[in-house]
Amino acid sequence: MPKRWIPPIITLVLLALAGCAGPAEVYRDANMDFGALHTVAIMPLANLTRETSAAERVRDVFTTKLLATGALYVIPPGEVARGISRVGISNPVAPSTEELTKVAGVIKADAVITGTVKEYGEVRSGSSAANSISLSFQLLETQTGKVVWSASTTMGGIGITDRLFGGGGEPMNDITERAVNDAIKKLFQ
Amino acid sequence: MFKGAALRLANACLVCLFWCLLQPQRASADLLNGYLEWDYSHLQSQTRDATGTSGAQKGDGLTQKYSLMLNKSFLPLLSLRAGYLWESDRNWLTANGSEARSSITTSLPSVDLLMGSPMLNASLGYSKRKESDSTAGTSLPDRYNEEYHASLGWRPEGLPAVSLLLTRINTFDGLRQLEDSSNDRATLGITYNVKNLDLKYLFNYNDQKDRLLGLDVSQLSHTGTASYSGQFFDERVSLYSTYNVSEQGTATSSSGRGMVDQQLLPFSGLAALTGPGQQYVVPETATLGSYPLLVDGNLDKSAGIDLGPQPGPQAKRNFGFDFQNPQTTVNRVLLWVATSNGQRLPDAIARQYTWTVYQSQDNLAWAPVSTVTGLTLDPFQNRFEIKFAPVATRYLKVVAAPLDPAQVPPGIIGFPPSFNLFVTEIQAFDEVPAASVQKNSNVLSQMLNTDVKVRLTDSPALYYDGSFFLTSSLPNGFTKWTVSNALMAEHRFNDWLSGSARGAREDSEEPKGHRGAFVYSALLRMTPLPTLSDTITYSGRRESFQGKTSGADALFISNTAELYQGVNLNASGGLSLSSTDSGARIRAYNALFGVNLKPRGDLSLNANYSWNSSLATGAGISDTSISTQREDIGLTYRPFTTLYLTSSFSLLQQSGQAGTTFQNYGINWSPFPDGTLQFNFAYSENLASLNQQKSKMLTPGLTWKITPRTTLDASYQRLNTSSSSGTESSQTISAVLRSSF
Amino acid sequence: MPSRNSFSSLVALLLVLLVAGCAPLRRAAWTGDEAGNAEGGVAILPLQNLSGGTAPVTELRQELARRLALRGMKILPEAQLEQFMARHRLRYVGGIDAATAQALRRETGARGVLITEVELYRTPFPPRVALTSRLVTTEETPRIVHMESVALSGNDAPGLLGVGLVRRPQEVTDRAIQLLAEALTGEKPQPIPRVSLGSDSVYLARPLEPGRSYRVAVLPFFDKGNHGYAGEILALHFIGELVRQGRFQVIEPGTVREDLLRYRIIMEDGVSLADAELLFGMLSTDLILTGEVNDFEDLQGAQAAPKVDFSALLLERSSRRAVWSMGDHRTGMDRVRFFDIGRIVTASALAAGMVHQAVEESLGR
Repeated sequence: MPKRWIPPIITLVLLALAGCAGPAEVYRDANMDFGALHTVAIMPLANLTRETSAAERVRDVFTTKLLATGALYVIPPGEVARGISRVGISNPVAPSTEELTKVAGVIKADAVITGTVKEYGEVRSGSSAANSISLSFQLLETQTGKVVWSASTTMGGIGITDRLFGGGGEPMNDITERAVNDAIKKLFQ
Repeated sequence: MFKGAALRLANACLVCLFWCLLQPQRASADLLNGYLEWDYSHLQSQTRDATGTSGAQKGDGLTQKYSLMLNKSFLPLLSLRAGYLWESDRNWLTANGSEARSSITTSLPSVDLLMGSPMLNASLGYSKRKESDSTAGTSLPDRYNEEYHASLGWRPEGLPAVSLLLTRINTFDGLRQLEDSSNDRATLGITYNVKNLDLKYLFNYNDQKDRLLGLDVSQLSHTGTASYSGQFFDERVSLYSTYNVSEQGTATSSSGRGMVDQQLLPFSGLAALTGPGQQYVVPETATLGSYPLLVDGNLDKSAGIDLGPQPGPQAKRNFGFDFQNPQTTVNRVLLWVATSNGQRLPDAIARQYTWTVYQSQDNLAWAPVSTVTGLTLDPFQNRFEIKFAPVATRYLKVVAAPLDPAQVPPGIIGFPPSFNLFVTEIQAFDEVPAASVQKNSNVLSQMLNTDVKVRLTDSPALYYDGSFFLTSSLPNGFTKWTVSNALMAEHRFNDWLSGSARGAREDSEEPKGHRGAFVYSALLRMTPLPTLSDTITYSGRRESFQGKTSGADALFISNTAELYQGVNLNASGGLSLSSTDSGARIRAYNALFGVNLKPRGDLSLNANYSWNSSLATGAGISDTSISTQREDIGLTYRPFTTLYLTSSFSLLQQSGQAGTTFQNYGINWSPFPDGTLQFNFAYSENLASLNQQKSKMLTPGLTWKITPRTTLDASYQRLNTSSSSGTESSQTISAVLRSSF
Repeated sequence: MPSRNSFSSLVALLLVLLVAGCAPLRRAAWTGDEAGNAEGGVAILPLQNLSGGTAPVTELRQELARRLALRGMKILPEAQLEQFMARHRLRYVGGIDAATAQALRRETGARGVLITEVELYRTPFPPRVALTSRLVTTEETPRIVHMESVALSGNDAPGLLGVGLVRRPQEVTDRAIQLLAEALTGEKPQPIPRVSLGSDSVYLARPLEPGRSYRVAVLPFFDKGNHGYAGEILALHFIGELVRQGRFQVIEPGTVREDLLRYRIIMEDGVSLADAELLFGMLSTDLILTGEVNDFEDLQGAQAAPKVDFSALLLERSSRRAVWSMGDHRTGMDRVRFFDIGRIVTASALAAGMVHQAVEESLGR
């Protein structure tokens, strides 16, 4: 192969690889002192999937895993529910700044996490099927309601490994755990 | 030159036409459809024999196929179906420095006019196939196959159904120098069904004219069949009876040079496997079982017997006929085949097969008649023609073994070295010179078959099974009848033990005398646990014929056990003793032990051991003893859905011969199973200690579904074989583009 | 050589023994009413059915009572218990509150109550049954002194040629009751299947004080799956494990239920700190355990693997915070590599293994 072909080929490969890269999936407020956060509350998550229990399942796993890190104390869901009820938040999955401040005061949380379950369950491509999950979380500072951290993660689905070797048989619970761990990793990175 | 330019222009026009037709927006709905196929292959092979002599071969092949089919309905009950197929097959071959090129061009226009409804219908049709061959620039005479046909069908409700088929086929070359024959056929069938009675009448006229030989054979036949089946007395008695009478007249006019073909209609088709690890070790002592698919008249449908190349030791395939008449004269067998890839079997591969014909009067002891090799398929039909000196026999069989992959010659363009070759039909003929037969002959044959089954008692279940079979052929024929009276019993002793027994007396009258036989069998089935079952079978036959007696007894024990979930065992064994009226005694033993382990869903391990031994004595021949042992271990592992790994090891030991080992390793990977671009990778390696044979095959392939109706297949194959007699290596690249509309 | 008489006697003796051996096995004659003086005995409450299907609870109770009596346990006659239950309009049999326990002791003399739950009862092959029993004292404050679970399936041990497969539900039930009785009488404690939890499944804020005894109230878990009773079943497994650990005084669930009802405490989405505060005071507990069950499935079929997914939270009175939590999901085939070695056949056994592993490694002594 003539040598003059090599630079254009490398350029094309790099461009192709750049095209494959997805958008940045994490936002961190550079001015926020995350070390000052000790107690967080996880609000009920928004569920955009057809699986009615998806949001509750993900919230349960997220609560357990975040607590298990030992870095943050997660207020028990029952206490969060009491706070929501006490303040009278009509839509707990998307609280207003005012509601946020109030509920944080009631349950004594330094920050509140909201999130969305965008995809949860089986996806199909041809005759292949695989479980998939797509989540996004936001950490809201309770005084101002400002988003200080945001991350999204997607796990499972029919990837290149599945296409090359088959698969897609990973249970939904495992995928949920991996996605939640990925989100937590992005929080502490 | 002008002709070549015209051909190229026509070709270009055809491509343009297809290109236009393949555009989806221009396709004219369901009236017109068709396809095109371009198939290109390139092959390169090198050979080197033990003396160091080497050879090289290089070739390219290009096949183009264009087909158009028009379906047009003029009226609700009148439609036209017209089609045209044009095919060009060109090959360029360079072997050891010398070049050769060849081409075959086929054109096949056809038209059919269809009228009527399912109740009353008729059709008229015409097709003409033209094949033009050219080798090294020299054109051979064109070959033509012209067919006219007409049919009429009438199925009135509650009345007999009538069908009529008229056909004329002309086969000739352009100059009418090599072949010029015609075949006229008329078939009239009437069927009528009344309750349990089926009545059929078939009239058949067949006139074969060979103008070059000056031979004219016309046959006229009438066949009537009546069948009855019914049950009486609270379904305790069931009766089935069928009567068939056929009269066939043949008129022959000949200048004395031709041969008259008389097809023999066998009573049944037969088949069995012989070889190491099989119930019968050698063809000489194998008893063939009934195999109707071989003689069902369907020349295209596989009968399930595969002669394609397979690695490792393979059992020989035995297939043949039972003519009933012990004096049936046979001198020709037509063996119809079909390949799994739909292509015609290349001559170079066809020549590798060895065909051995055996005859027998008792289906126990077989004597070889003839062995032929180097046969190729008939130029027009997918059939081998096996000719041998006429024999008078009741049973006749052909024995052949699947090819070893190393036997498949490399360098065949466009034909994969791995394929299945299915036997579809076998036909037997008695071919006699036209001059030696009567100018006019008339044969009347009759067949009556009646079966009665009576349930005598319910517990234990006792049955009477009687049958009467009569067949006769006149004149110069024979009359034969067989009466069988049997008592059968079945009983379940308890939850885990059951048994059955049958005893029968069979008497038959044949031209050579009376044949009487006692036939008996017993079976004991035990299932002490749902996971454990044992079966003991005993069967025997004592026969007397022409003052001589013969007999056979066999005892077989079979056990299966699911020792644990995923651990299966089977063990079986038996012995058989038989004696022929010629005084020969054959003793055979066999044992089989197998283990199947499936410790997890993706892993499977098989191990089998088999032992066979047979000893033939008496009948004035020297004692023959053959013993074989075979051990097989196989492992399959599927770590991923798309990845498959296999490995097997076999050891074959035969008395008086050195043991032979066979090893096989394979990997198959098919990623992207659902995409429009599919990839497949396969690698296999076979090792055999005999002649230090070793073969490696690498086959990556690609399938691209460009559109739902357009597919491109590309594959590469590399095959290296080596043995003490030399080495061969070949590489093949092939690409096939198919598109339909 | 034996004499003719002695020989015939020997034959006769053998025949008698043979006939005796062929006679159907007769169960030892026992009825609850024949137990005589039940002073200081144990009242066996009717079984609570948490299986989600039908179960022969009456027959199971009778058989359990029979087996326990055969092992020397003094049983309160059934009729006497029925009279007591009618008198006090006692319908809930999944626990006992302090007032009822005292009344039972006062009126019948029973010193203990055996409360049994049917967690699983399936008759199609392979038949399956899972039972949990706890022995509760009838003291002023009822105390759980012993708790055992047994879960059996007809294909627990197929054995060679499948001779170990049990196809009749009655055999599995009898065996389960026998094992439960043996375990409750201290003869043979039931083994707990080994389960490997995920590495980050358990969180412990700080170790519990060594040597200290903690009072724990276990609230029913929230069942977010389809089972219907999985919350109660998981709570029972936690109670059993905590009792087994010895350092926890687990409050009888009947008492907890009574207080929840009395103070109209309804927890729609988990226990709040305010509810916890109230419960800490009412029940005088140091810890409150609660949780959620996402999956608790026993699929039908010989090859089907059970599935369990839950999370749990332990709230501490002194800090008003969660000091321990866990969450994991497992299937009965997780530890299987070859054949069925390591397979767990019922969700009850799987849950018991998960709970044991989680509690043992972080809250044990």
